[in-house]
Amino acid sequence: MTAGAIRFGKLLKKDLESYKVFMAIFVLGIIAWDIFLWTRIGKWRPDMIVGLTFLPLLLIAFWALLSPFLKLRQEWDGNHVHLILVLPVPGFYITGAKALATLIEAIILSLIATAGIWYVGILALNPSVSWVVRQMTTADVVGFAFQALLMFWLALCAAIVVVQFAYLSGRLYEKFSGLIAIWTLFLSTWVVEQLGALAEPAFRWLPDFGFKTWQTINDQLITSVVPVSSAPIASVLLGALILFAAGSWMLDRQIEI
Amino acid sequence: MLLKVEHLSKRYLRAQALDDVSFELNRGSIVGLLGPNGSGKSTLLKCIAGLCRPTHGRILIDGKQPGLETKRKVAYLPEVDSLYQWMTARQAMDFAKSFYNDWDETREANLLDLVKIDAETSIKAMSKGQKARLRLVMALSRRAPLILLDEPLSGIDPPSRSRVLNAIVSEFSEEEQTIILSTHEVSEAESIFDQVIFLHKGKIRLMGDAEDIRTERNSSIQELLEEVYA
Repeated sequence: MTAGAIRFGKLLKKDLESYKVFMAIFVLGIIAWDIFLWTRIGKWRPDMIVGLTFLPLLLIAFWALLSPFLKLRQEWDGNHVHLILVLPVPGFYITGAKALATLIEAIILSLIATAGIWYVGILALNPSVSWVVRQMTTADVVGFAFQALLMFWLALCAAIVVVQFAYLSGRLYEKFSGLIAIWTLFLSTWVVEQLGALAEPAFRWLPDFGFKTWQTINDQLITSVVPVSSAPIASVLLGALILFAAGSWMLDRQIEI
Repeated sequence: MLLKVEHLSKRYLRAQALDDVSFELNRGSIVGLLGPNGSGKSTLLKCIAGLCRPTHGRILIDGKQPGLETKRKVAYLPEVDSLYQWMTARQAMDFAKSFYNDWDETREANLLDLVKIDAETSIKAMSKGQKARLRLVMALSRRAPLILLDEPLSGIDPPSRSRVLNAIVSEFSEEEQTIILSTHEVSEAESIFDQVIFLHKGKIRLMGDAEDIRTERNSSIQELLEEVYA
């Protein structure tokens, strides 16, 4: 392993460790929620229980948006920025480690939340839903869950970068840094969308993929494939990558403490 | 030439922190950076460490402007407590040492012993003085050519200050290092200074060899400081 990779790993480990207590509480919270919903089977409406099993995913998305902001703010509030900004590493190591730490946390939490959806919302709950599931092969289920989670994680990647960029932009100014960060958040979201729209034609060569979906009509299991174009996704990710480079450059060359 | 500061000015929104500061330093000296609060000492050290950027002028460390390369050559001890509270002293040192090839484990052990810090202690459980001493250990454990110490005696009780000063002198390598140390505790620290820089309102008021200044003015650095800033 190169020295650069070891140093990046050290930063990543630090960022993961600083939130390990919070993560343990979040994981226990998801499990407790699913156990609670399990106890409601037969007492509450099935569709309501199914819907509520998705609540942790919403909280995870919210956490993933808040976490890049909190991770950076903690460095400033705790004066740790005096320590990390004198380290002989490029700015993208610091921003990259923080973004990756948030993504890893979101992946772990969303996998646990998905397991909860599976066990409580599908397997244990509704006989008709279970009948649909029983018609699907394991590969079908895993493939669908993986595709859905992958889209969720890619969306989070872009969102994490936008939030990081907004926070770092605010740090460029001594006054009104909070207001500038909020304004930059909206502006940079718009910029990523515009960059995505501009670059989209350049990615049309990418193969499209399809989401396989299942539904029952007159007790018949019908499968259909919803086509999803790869080009807009790739172009938004390119926009996020440009914003990530800009944020890392600001941390390296512009931000003062 | 290890450090060259040329016409350095730094302006913040409402204040001129540094105003046309110029000086040069070679390896092999301990430099006292002295001045009252707001004189620009911390800003100067931050600019050299690469934490803030000059409004005018430039800084050269071994011929290079502050950046990734100079960060390998500069050890910086900030005035504020920059340590992660959830780490132990050992974890904090292990984290820092993984980024620097010049970390000297023998020095680290000597310094920990000298300033009486138990490496297994949680930082959260440490007193302000213990944290200050740990930060000093982290800065001095490196064989960095340029060491910047911003108020290393701040928060340390008087009996421990002499231990800290002993640590600085004992681990100082005259052939390869220069230390710039800012402090308000001039009377206690002046014996270790080879050179002094007096800053006032962002400008250099006086600079020179500490012994020459004492001889010429027939007074201690502390007395001279009181005279200059009277």
